Amino acid sequence: MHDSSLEMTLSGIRLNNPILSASGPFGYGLEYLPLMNKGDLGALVVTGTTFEPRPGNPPPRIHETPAGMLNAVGLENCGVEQFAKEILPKLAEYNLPIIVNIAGKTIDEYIKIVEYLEKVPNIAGYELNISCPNVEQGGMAFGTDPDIAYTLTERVKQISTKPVIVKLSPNVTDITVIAQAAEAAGADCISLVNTFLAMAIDIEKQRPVLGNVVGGLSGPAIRPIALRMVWQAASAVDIPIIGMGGIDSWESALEFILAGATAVAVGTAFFTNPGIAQEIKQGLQAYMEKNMIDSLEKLVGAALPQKTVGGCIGTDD
Amino acid sequence: MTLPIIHLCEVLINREVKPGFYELRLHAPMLAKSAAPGQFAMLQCAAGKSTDPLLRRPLSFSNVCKKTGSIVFLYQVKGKGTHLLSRISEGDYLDVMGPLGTGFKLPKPGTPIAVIGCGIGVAPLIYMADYGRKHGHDVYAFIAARSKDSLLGADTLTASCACVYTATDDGSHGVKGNITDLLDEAAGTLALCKTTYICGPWKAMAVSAEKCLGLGLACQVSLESIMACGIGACLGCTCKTTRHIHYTRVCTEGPVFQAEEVLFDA
Repeated sequence: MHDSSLEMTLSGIRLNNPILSASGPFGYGLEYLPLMNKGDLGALVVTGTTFEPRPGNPPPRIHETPAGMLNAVGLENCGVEQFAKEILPKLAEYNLPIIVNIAGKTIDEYIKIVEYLEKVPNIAGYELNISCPNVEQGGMAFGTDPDIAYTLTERVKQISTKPVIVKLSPNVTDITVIAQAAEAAGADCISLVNTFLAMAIDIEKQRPVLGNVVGGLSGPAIRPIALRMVWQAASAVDIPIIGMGGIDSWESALEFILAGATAVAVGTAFFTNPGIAQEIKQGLQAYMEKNMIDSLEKLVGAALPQKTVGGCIGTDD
Repeated sequence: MTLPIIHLCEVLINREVKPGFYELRLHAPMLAKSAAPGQFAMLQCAAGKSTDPLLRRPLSFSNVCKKTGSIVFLYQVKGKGTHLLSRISEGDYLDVMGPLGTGFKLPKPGTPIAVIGCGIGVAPLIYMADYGRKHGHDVYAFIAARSKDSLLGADTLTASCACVYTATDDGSHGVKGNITDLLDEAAGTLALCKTTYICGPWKAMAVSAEKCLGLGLACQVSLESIMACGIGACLGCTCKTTRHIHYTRVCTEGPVFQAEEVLFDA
């Protein structure tokens, strides 16, 4: 019997498995976690949290597209204080590392949120959302300018006692520039990709479908592009990567791992299949057992040309 | 592992009852046990794993038979998802997530109630009418559609209702006119019903609710919305109500609301 463990450490955060919830679709986890088995999810990444509560965008907020969907929820959230006081205690029973996705309009707002959360127990790390396409200020604008991304990451790192993950926008010409800026500023990890800026038009009304005009495209439709960007980022930086973008099976999760992701995040796929995390976990385990791989880490980046064959299929040792 | 809210259900019937409108009957004993009127389920429209259409479709329960363990949905073919659903054969299995949402509430025993529906909005009211009758209420139905070809539930509702009033835009069935005309026409009967249940297109629902509230009747409306998750996580289906300063989730706090809570013009 081969012991194929999915346990791992991601920038100092101990994970039972490499499957995370992508910030956004999973909300605060209070809807999906009760439906799942303990241990199905490696860590919970909660929805984008701002300092003050945010109402979000006017409806319609979502629209289905071929093999994907647009969303323009607009970071509706209850604000950091209510999150810490009311929601965080409810998450304790799930005994999961909790990573808070942080979204600010200004660098100072990011700092204020981190300062607040530094005094709150039971938070494993922060994910800086510099990639939300659905807000007027901050969001994606931070993620498309390497200088701002650098400054923001550096300032958060100065006050954070916890791992800082920087979530990158795919809406850039060269993902490696931003990835390297985050790394140079001291980011512990990067996650990518957030959604692609996109839109749809109602041909009867001859107007954009979404209340916000544009939204973020997610789902299997973006997967090959997301995978390419993870591959490129993995070739450009040495810090761990959380890969995401249309993952809806263990096979697609494994593609991201082979492209260089240490962990993966699942978002849109939960809508169709709330049991997806367990399916990925079991699929990865079965793959590792079949191929006699005892540690998932041996698969991370195995498809990259410069990596040596840690767990290459077809070898016996 | 099967999640407690996911049910793999055998398709017993999937047939066109009016042009473009289908009845889907599933063998779903677990769902039938717990599905309340006004609640809904999220259906995977294609057999097997499909990425296109990506999302499940929300459909409200149109009837439930606890004895035989079957549930019925009525749906209109509108897009890709419902088109694929209409192609599913009897004997196939469908992945159904539910029951979801907050349904209709019954009033005090013994009081007459009214169900008011337009087009496919009649779907949840058929179950509500049956449920109301079984709980000792006299039920009156007011249903409207474009023509007799899209008028749903006229026959089914006669079994549970003391009277079924109908209207069609072209006059091919019942009163010639829309739901407002029908409610005016039968205002006397409507006024007897202390509680009303409304479902239909947004505007029709807004004017019907206004009329009922104007008569001093309690009024519950079942809202329709595009949904992604159906369980309150994605915040994709929100609407404006008096419950919150900002937005309210249709999928969990609704789809049924007290009419006076809903800000129809927002």
